[in-house]
Amino acid sequence: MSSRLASRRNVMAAALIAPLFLLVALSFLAPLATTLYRAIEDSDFSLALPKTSRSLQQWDGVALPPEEAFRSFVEELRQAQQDQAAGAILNRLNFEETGLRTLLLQATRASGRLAEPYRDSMIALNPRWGDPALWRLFKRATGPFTSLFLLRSLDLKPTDQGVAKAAAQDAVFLPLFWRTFEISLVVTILCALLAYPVAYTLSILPQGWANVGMMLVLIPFWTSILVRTTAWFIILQREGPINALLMAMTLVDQPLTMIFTRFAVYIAMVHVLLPFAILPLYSVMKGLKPDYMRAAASLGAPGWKRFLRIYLPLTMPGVAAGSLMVFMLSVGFYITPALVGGPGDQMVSSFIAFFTNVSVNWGMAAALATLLMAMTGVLVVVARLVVPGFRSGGVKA
Amino acid sequence: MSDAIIRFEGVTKSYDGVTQVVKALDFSVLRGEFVTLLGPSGSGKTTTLMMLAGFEDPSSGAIMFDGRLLNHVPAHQRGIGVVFQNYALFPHMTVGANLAFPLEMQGVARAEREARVRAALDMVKLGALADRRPSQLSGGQQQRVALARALVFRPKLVLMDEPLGALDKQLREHMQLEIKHIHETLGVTVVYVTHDQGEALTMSDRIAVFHNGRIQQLASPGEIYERPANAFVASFIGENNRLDGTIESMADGVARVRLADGSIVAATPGPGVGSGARVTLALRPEKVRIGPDAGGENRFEARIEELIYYGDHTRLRLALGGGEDFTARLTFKDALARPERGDVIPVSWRGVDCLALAPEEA
Repeated sequence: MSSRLASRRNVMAAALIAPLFLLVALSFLAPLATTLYRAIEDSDFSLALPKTSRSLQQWDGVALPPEEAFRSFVEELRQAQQDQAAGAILNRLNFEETGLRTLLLQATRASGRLAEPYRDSMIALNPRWGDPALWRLFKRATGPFTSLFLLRSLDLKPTDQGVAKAAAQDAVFLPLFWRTFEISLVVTILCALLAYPVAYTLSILPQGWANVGMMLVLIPFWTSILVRTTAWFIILQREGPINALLMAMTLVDQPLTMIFTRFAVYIAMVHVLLPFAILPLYSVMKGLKPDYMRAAASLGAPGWKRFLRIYLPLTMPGVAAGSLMVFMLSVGFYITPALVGGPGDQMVSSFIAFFTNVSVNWGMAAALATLLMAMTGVLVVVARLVVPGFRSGGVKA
Repeated sequence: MSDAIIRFEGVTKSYDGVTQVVKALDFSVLRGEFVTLLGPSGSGKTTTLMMLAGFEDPSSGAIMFDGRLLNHVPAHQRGIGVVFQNYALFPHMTVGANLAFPLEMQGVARAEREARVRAALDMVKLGALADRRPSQLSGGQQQRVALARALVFRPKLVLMDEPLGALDKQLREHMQLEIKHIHETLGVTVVYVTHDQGEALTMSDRIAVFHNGRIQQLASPGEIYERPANAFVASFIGENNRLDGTIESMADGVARVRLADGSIVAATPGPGVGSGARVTLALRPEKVRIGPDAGGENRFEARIEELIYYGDHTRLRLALGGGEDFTARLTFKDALARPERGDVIPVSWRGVDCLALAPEEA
């Protein structure tokens, strides 16, 4: 083949693959990169207060900053306030240290009364302006990058001396990650335990019944998560059918509290995610030749030994694939805990949603999302090393 | 070597309650014997093996093994080794662990287990591969491991379900001999299923030819080849020319058969045929003689329809007796040096080489 023809073929191949590549790049890689970038990016301060930023960056950070910095700070803050552009910086600073919003608003309101020398008149307004640590905090906020959001996601904070533990009222994220992990793990284990017998039954049923059973798995699978969660919301209510039944049977004196509990979260999540565990298991079990079990029988193994020594190990890849899928989806769950769980059952996603929708702190939302992704990645790697049959998608069966 | 180890007594098997896959099976296998169940697919041979192994239950009848009724004994209590078509080696265990598995189930102590595994691997010449996974072995090696695993726990009976089907021709022929030697050395009884008649002829003490759920003939390879009991056996084992006709008369063990085109052929009557019966004449191509002075009382003129070159012989497709599929072999010993398509040549055969058999059931 001539090299011209070959290069034409390469161009053709590239052209054919381009749409797919573009789609992946635009819909997956770009948002991912943006999220990672958002987690460390810090430009609110330097965009709103450019002159102050420059002068703070030149400051040695030991004594108070020069008068120049105070003046441009007052002028630019007043300007930002007039342009309605101060919100982002107030949020950003107040997030790093609660109370800074009040301090800055006080300074803005009083800016008409502030006069040269600004340093003295600001300190007169509020002695905090004479604290070099405050200005060092500002200097750190001039960007362009910050470790603040990632550290806060780990219940840490950046200080002048390096990294320290975050204030007690801010230290909510490590317990949150742990809770997310715990809920996901419990849901994964429950799904695996429930899916195994279901998938096994489906795999040995005669074709007609297997189709019926498969439909029973797939119809919920095709139903919206919201619909299914809402159904559980109704079922588990104080006045819901379960409590009505228990009361009618006089098994309980007063209705059980099931809604807004961890129990409700587990039930609804397991229900929503069970098909993801059943389907890969079913396909592995269906593909397993009966010869292995027959061979084990002919070699003298009674039923339970055949199961433990042969069937279970050979279907482990299905368990692993299903569990991985369930775990990955659990970690990102939002709607179900939000609807049927209590405040103590919310997972990382709900905080990501909070920082995105309510407090508009994209840096924090991105940092949490990044750490969640990292945590999942690490767990997958660990699982591949530890769980048998995980490595190569399982033994060749 | 004379007592029966397996006895099938009126065994039938039906999966749907209507069609019988196996019909009223009666046969026995002697201790130490190598019996092959041979037949086309769907003839019931594999089902028979599965019932023996305990993977299928007979619908009626009794299977006796070593003097006791086997019907309701679960597979894992039968102590019968099985070699599967696809070997069914446990992919998550090493070769050594595969072989140790049945010994572990029997509760053999570790030290003895290891010694016996090693001996079994040495027997199939794979001593060095105990720590490999089955997927790291070639097809032939896997086959040997499967064989060793079925033998390592010293069963009295080993069943083999087309164990060489997945191997290439050369390896298959080599393994045939190896299995034969192992059988002779160990003296174990073997029931072997295949659809390859060559394999059956090479390896077996006796062959049971299956067709439509029945044993058509159970006899030694020589007997099956030389004296097939009916037209199915004759056509299934080896090549055969088939000519349909009716017996006109029988005298001194010779039947005179009139063919469709009116010609008369002298033939040896098979079992259960008499005067007036419709028969199928079975004649092996190598028994057909070619040339004017070849001898043989049945003489015909045949036109060559096709010549097929096979190296050591040339195969002739001839028009004879109303049909066009009569096959003869032309070897270098034959007088006709260079026949060509369209030539009319004299052919003949002896009455003793030509069997008049009951026609195949429709």
